[in-house]
Amino acid sequence: MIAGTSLDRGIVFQEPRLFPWATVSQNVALGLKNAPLGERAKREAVAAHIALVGLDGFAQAYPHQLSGGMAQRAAIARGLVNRPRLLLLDEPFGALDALTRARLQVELQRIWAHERITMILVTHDVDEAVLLGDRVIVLAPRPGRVSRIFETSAPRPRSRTDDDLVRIRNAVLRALGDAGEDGPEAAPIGGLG
Amino acid sequence: MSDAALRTTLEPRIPALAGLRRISLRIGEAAFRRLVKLGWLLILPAVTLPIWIVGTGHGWLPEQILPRPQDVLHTLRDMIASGELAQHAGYSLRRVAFGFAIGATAGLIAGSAMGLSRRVDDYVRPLFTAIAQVPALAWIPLAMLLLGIGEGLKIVVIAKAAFVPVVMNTSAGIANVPKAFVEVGETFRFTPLQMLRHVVLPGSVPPIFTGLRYGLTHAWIALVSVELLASSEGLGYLLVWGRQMFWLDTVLVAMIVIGVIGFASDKVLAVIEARLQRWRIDDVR
Repeated sequence: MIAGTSLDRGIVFQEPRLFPWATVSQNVALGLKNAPLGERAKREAVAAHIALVGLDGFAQAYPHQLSGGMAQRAAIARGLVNRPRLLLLDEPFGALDALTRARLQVELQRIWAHERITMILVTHDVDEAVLLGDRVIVLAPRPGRVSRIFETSAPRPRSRTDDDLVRIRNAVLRALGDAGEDGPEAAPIGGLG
Repeated sequence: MSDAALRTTLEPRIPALAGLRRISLRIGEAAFRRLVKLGWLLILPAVTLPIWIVGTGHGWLPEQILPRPQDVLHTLRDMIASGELAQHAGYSLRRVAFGFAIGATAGLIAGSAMGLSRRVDDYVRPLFTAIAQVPALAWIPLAMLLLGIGEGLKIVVIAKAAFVPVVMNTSAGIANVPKAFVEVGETFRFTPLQMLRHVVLPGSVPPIFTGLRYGLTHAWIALVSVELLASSEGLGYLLVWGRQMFWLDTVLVAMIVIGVIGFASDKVLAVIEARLQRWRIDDVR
């Protein structure tokens, strides 16, 4: 049972939601405000996570100085800085252009490989779900329910053109067709570390 | 477009030269823009001052109603030299400073409480609106009976005038901090104090300062009103007294001084606001 928020769960929203009045490093540091760490450990954690998402050199930049992709990286750093056991991603790349999205998908795989935590990513993009997830759960609307579950065992790092992935992608697309026209969602689950 | 034409448009210019031209263009542009802005600022004075000079020179209006600019200047110099002006301005400044400080502080506290808590807002808002609708000037008769005509009266009336816009803008600003930001604070389990310090206050700096600047303007308006009715010193008193004596040069001097002090104090608030919002400096000119 889950009641309310917890530092054990990180979240990345569809939009970066960085505080415009704080720098990247201050934004990430705010995630640690209530973490049981010393000042020094907090500073190190902030720097480490900014480096993890590839934003070194932008720690002192303000959100309005970042591109959409960079802002979303900062949001991922903020979601991870508490070292949560679970990271929730709510259509994290939905608002980005196709090229940036593809780049960040690769990045997210790298980050996952580094952090080895469970990630739940909600997306409408079947390619994204199949590329990133170890388990792709297709949801059906009204009432919201699990419609199908697909397991992917393709080794990482994955390539979009991998035959296995293409096969699963087609199966997911077919399942979505069955589930109805009105906006089913695919929710891939990143594997447990 | 022909191939040749396309090539010339796409061909990179010599980078260093282009860069240099860009920089010099930018400097020139900034200076030009500033000049244009100054020009716009000066249009109104540039039109009215000559009319004033010519009009009074030809005696279009009696001198008791509209004195010549040079007379006003002369009176201004005299009053500065005699220390009279500084004395009156000092009285007024002190009243505005105290009244504004009290009114704005109370307004920030009440406005924050109303913005943060739905319940406080529900209880307090009707009474506040009723009080706010009665102008500062209309409070003076009652306040006079309660407080006499001393400094207390002036400060209370000025404080009330500053209080109203500060409360309105602070409560609206705080209530309108995007929910999305508050949710981020919640995921990090911010305490109410952390939420205030890191999310709510930084997110409502612009409306709060709008309120403070309105409050200061209203404080000056109230000052003049209350000095008109119950004072024997101060810039407002100078205005009434000057009018009664038909010393319109004195009236104009008082008006100019009030305008200049009001402008300067508003500027001070604007600078503080800009400093609190340094993150926006790239956007704001």
